[in-house]
Amino acid sequence: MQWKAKVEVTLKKAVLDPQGAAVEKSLRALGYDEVSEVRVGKYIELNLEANDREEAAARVEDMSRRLLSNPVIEDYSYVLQEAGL
Amino acid sequence: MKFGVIVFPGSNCDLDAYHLVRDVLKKEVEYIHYSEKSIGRQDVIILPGGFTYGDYLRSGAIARFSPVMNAIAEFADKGGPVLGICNGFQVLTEAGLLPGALYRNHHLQFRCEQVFVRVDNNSLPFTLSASLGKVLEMPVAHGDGSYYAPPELLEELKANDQIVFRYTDQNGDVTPQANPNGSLENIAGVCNRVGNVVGLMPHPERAGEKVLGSRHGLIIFKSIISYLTGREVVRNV
Amino acid sequence: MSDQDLHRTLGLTDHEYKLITEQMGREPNEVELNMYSVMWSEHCSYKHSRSALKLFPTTSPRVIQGPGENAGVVDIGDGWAVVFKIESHNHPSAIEPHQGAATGVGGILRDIYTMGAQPVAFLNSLRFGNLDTARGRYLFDGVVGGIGGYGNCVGIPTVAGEIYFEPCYEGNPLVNAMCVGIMPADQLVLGKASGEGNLVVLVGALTGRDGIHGVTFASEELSEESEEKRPAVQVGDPFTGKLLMDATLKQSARSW
Repeated sequence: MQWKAKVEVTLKKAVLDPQGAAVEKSLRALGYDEVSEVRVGKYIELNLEANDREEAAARVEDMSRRLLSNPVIEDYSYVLQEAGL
Repeated sequence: MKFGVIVFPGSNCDLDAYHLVRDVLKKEVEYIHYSEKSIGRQDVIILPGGFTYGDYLRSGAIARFSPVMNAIAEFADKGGPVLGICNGFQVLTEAGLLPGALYRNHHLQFRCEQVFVRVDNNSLPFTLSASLGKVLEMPVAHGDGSYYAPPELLEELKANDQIVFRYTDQNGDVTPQANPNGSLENIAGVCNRVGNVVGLMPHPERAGEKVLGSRHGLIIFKSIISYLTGREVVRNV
Repeated sequence: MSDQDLHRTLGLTDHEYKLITEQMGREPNEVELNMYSVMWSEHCSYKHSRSALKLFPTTSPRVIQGPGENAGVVDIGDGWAVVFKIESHNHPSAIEPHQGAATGVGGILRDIYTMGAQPVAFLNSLRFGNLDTARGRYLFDGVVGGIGGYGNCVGIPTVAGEIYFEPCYEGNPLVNAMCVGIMPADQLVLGKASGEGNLVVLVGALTGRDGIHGVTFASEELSEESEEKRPAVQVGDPFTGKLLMDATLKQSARSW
């Protein structure tokens, strides 16, 4: 079966996010005073072949831990859906 | 005595490292292609600076999976000396051969400038010829050099004397102005527990000749040469 | 669409179309017309600057290669030659400043190493409108980021440049990228081939539809409609650019 995984990688809460800080400053400068706590992360989309959702999830977890994120400074989360939906 | 300089796709300071060892230090040196499954009879391995894989995804994140990294891990495991410079340092942290991680400079700029680092551990193969607290002037050229370690790891590094270099001013004082990238506690370089693997963000291979502005980088290479020569002497006795 | 309209969408004036038909002695086919559109674009031919460029000297005992190749080559003595060129990437940078500037750097790099020279430095000459507008800062940040991002990634330092801010450049920044390389004078590689039955190999980074007709775009006037043309600005890939440079130099350079 074809699956589509949408993975989000963000810096751990404890890590200073300079890009987030810069974006927050820019948003406020544009007049969006209501904004706070901006964090910038990465979004990775991929298709994968797997027999069932469990197998697909296990593979995506593996990929996320090994390559897509650096566990020392980053957290990851993902959404899995059947491709073509 | 043979030096090996690893070349990954996108490495660009391999030329400088090779030139320093061959032409300035007059020692034998070889390029080692990232696809090699073994590193041959090398006595010391250098992972040079550059933009391996374009720094795509994260600096060093893809290079760490190169075939040659298995051989390097084995070599390091057996106590072989490994020096990671800039991107090389990043590859070693991604590969788990060095603790912590490097990420985006806090001011979000790529900085290319001279910095001062202080030698805070001179008991290693790569630092034994330097006096403790000695201040070295070297260039940095990076956009992702901010060192980070979670609090418990940081305490461990301090307890085990694994912080090798810190950014300081000319007098050896740790100040915010001396920090070119926002690294935690001005950490510029660290080593593994055993001390045979060292990584640093500044470029000692670009501080080896008067015409480049500083010769302070030589001490790191002279240290390892001294260490290996000593070992050879012991072996020959 | 009649040929009348086609040549105009390709950036050629009616006068230029007339010149083409006169030169060829017939109407050009679609491929030929597209080729003319590219070769006679402002970017490739610098036609609007030709009368001024003609005033520069191009010959001397030290000039090994003048106009006509990818870059100029000058003898600097002791058997060495310096290879250099400067090129503009203004229009792409006005629409997509980061990629426009980045690909400008990538292009000029290629012009140097394809002659067999090892690139050693980048330089740039920039003009912007005032930085007190959001658009001004957007263009400035994008161009500087693009130049730095590409140049640093391919490992060639950007060592010098010049920059001026004048209101006249507000809608149309000037982004000129220069590259300098060195090589043994006797190992120059020219863009020439002779003989029959030679193999032609096309090598390069991937180009999506984002790069097609980019040079034609440079010849047109900039307007709000130009914003829709964003896909015609090529996206840079400095990593592949670096590999391409290394591979090309390995092919052409001997042991020096």
